[in-house]
Amino acid sequence: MGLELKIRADLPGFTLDVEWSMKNELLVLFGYSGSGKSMTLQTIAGISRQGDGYVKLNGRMLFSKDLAINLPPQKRSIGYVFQDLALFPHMTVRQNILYGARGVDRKAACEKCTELIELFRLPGQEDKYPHEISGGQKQRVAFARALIRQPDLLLLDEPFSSLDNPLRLEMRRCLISVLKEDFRVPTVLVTHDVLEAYTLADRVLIYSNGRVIQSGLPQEVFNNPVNHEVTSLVNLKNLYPRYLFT
Amino acid sequence: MEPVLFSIGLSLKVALVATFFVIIFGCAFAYLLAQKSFPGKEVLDVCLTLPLVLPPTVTGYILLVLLGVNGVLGKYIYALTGYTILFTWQAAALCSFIVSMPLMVKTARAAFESVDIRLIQASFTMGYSEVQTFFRIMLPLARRGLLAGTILSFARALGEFGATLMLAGNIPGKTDTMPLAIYADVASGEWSRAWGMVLLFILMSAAFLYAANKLAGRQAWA
Repeated sequence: MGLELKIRADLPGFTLDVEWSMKNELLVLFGYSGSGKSMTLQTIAGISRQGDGYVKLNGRMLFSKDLAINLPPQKRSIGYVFQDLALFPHMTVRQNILYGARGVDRKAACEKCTELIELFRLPGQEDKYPHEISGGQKQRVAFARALIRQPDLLLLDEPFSSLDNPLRLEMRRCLISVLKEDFRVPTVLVTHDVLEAYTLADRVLIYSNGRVIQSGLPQEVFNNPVNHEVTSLVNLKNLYPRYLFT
Repeated sequence: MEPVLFSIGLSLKVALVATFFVIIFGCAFAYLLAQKSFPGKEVLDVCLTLPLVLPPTVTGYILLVLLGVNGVLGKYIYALTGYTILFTWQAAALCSFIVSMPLMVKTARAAFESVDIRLIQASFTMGYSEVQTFFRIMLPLARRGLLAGTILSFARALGEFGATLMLAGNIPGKTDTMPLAIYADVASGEWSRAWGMVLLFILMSAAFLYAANKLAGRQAWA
């Protein structure tokens, strides 16, 4: 069980070449912008359909160049939270969440939706439109919408990047509790925020220039960077002196 | 029936029929152009836009060559069915359709392209097919643009003159839409009758343009 992949894609001026696997855990892809993290997520989800290799989820081949398999995103059962959240502006909070429940029986979906609204502390916001709610609430709607169908895998592409710091901390706690206690779905989170990687990850992969240059438990990676590049990436002191060391 | 009333009624009928088909084909072509990449895409765009800039008489000429009794397609249609579109109200509707479709394609393409690609992708990852995504995400979010395109096309269809004259002729009581009737009235010195229709035209067209501007300016979900 879990996710296994090997992706090689040649793009103008950039080559993505990664191979890794994960179990039922929260895996963080960490690295600078443009290092291939989002591209990896898009390939897993089937939104980007170029390149070689394979993507295998829970023993099911989603993509394989050799076997000529390339399932469309519709058939992959993957929850995806985009960086800009991609809430549907013409749908209310409830409609947005329910939209995620395709293929679920209507009554069950409504019950599940009410449950998620409670879980993500959204009561009272059900009939509001995305432009009427706060950034943190939008975030929680996006999570609820991605989780309602109980996907086999959850992909989070820098989901907290648009929030300010206090809210970001709160959302991280919210996400952790939901994932550990309520859903237990394998999750890949992309970030270039070192603190986020450190606090959320069960395991970290360090991305650089389209390759994985180090992987392991957060403490291992952050305490024993394999080379200068990782050192500069994970240097908490340089990046976050205000929060951690004052 | 009073000739003026007949012309007004005929114009409305022709424009409504033309707009009906413009909505269907215009949206389909606009969606193709906005969302897909395929060989000949730019050629298709040019072909669809051409009637916007060509003199309507040129469009009419092409249609005549295609659909006339001895035309490239028309001769087979005539041989098989005994039907020719020449000098019928359907010909007027066809001309209005061809001439007004570019307005729909242009407006609808812009409306479709303005829908955030992430929303489409999000819908796909949730299991919705392209068709379902079109009706539940694209269409509602593009609807004001589409409505604006529909109104512009209707206004253009109502005013079609040149191509209609070539293909449908100007047969009183049969194919004389308002623009043709105005022309005939002026030609025969019936200025007062022309005036009424001219005023009606200006008022209607102004109202359509105003509505189209209003719609295009606002966000789709507001």
